[in-house]
Amino acid sequence: MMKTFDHFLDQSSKWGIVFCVFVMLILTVMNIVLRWFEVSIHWVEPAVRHLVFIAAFLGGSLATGARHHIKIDIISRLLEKKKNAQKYIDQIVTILTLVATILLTYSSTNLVKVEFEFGKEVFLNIHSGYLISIIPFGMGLISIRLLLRFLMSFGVQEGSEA
Amino acid sequence: MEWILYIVILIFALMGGPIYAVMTLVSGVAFYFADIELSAIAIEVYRIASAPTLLTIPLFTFAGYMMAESKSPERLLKLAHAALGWLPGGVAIVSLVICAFFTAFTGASGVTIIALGGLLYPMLKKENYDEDFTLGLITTSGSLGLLFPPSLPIILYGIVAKVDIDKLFLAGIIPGFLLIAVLSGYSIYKGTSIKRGVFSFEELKEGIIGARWELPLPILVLGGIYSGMITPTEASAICAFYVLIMECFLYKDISFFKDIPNIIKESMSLVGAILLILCCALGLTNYLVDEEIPLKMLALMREMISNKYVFLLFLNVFLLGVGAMMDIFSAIIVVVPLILPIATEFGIDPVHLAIIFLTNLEIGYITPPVGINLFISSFRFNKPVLHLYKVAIPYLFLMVFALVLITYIPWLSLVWFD
Repeated sequence: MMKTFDHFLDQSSKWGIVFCVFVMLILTVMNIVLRWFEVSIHWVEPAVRHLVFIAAFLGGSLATGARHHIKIDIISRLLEKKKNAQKYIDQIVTILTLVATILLTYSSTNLVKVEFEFGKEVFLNIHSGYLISIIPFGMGLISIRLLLRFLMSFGVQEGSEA
Repeated sequence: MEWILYIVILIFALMGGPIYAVMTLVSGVAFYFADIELSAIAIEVYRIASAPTLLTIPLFTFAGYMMAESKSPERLLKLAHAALGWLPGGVAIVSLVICAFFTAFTGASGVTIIALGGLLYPMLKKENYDEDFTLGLITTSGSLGLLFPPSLPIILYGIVAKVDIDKLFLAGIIPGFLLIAVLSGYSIYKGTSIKRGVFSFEELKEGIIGARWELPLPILVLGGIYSGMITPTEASAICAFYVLIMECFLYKDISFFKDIPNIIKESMSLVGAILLILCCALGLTNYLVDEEIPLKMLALMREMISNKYVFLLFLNVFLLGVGAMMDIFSAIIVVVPLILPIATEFGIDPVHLAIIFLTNLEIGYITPPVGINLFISSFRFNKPVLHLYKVAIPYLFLMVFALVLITYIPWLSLVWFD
């Protein structure tokens, strides 16, 4: 059940990011071509920057699933052969990472509330509150994946890789 | 209490905590004890969405990954072999050039060793290069080329240090070639006793025809930027679009529907990991700057170091250590904002500093005990890491020699701007 849900989140992140990459590519190339005809669409540039911003969190979700995050894992490398110790280290790392992502989700949710009160429409009539909502949604997604990884790690047999 | 939390976070980092999480926790603790609202972290995270060159990171990476997944490495290798294979040490030089080209596009993320190692290792062995030389060469080449445009570390440095990316692209060209030249010299020395190939015009012609669609790519990217027709951001879109058309529809190496989604997933996983660090580190680095940490470090340094050249020596030793311990992307994001004001005070040009910084980190990739290329090669070629430490040593000395030249001859980086 948890594995299926994690797979669903991974696939959603994957197709979300495929969509973002194609839209940013098409919009930017389109803007270059239109410039030859002295036409310029002003919302393209901020829209593309926000698509990259969304892609950062979706990519973060994929990196969380694939355990590809950038890290300095000196202790894990020293304990490369001790699988049990590695499993416990992985659990501690996952839970502390979860603390960090929850902290970011919480702080960005507060910011979103403030932005909806005092913010303004930025481009294509999109309110800045919606744009900042990318952060709590992105960090929330990563938090859920971390929680699932932590819970699933208890189902892994002793001695096998976590 | 504050220091206990910092120690816990340090242990967390050494245990393999993702750098972005480490940054967030450090910012959280620092902001909490400085009575700053925690939502300030989110404000800093959102600031990244206003960086004008942000798009270059995903699109150049996507282009590099598409090329790594296709048959482009084979085609370029064939061409380089035809052009340079007749020289003494020719095949080794071919390996250096091809790796540099690929690293420039894939951002020294380990993809070069994984994608090209399987091709180059048997080729060099077949030519009778000794095992240690071959392993050392491929391990070192995995990060060679990160001074060439459009490499991801250069772009990231430009964003973090607020230096023009097009200036950095130019500045890296001569130092990049210098590194290749130094390693090529060693390859020639090692290759004198090896039977050389014969130059064949027909083979060269075949190589050019084979790689006819890849060859215009550097001209398209660099020519476009320096003719003023397109910005680096637009160049990244044109590059990714061109590579997509080239690999899916001209060469048909990659299936648009079957392979492209997976390539996007792989490449964006790396991009996401980098951008998350960038987002989460901004709060921390700005806090450190607000607390005048660089100024305090500068005052301390002024007591010990009086001139620019001693500072450069200190900087190299410090950065080699950073490069050996930290990943290049985290190092750029965390260390650059601290070093930049100090280096400026010592009269070092920000563009020259960028090249010194990136060369050090390039060397860091092969520096024991934790240089990442050593681990990637150990995994890729199934050799003990300790053996790779040994084979990397001659290359390490050669790279340090080139670093000294790059550091103390600023002209190499700044010739374009005088």
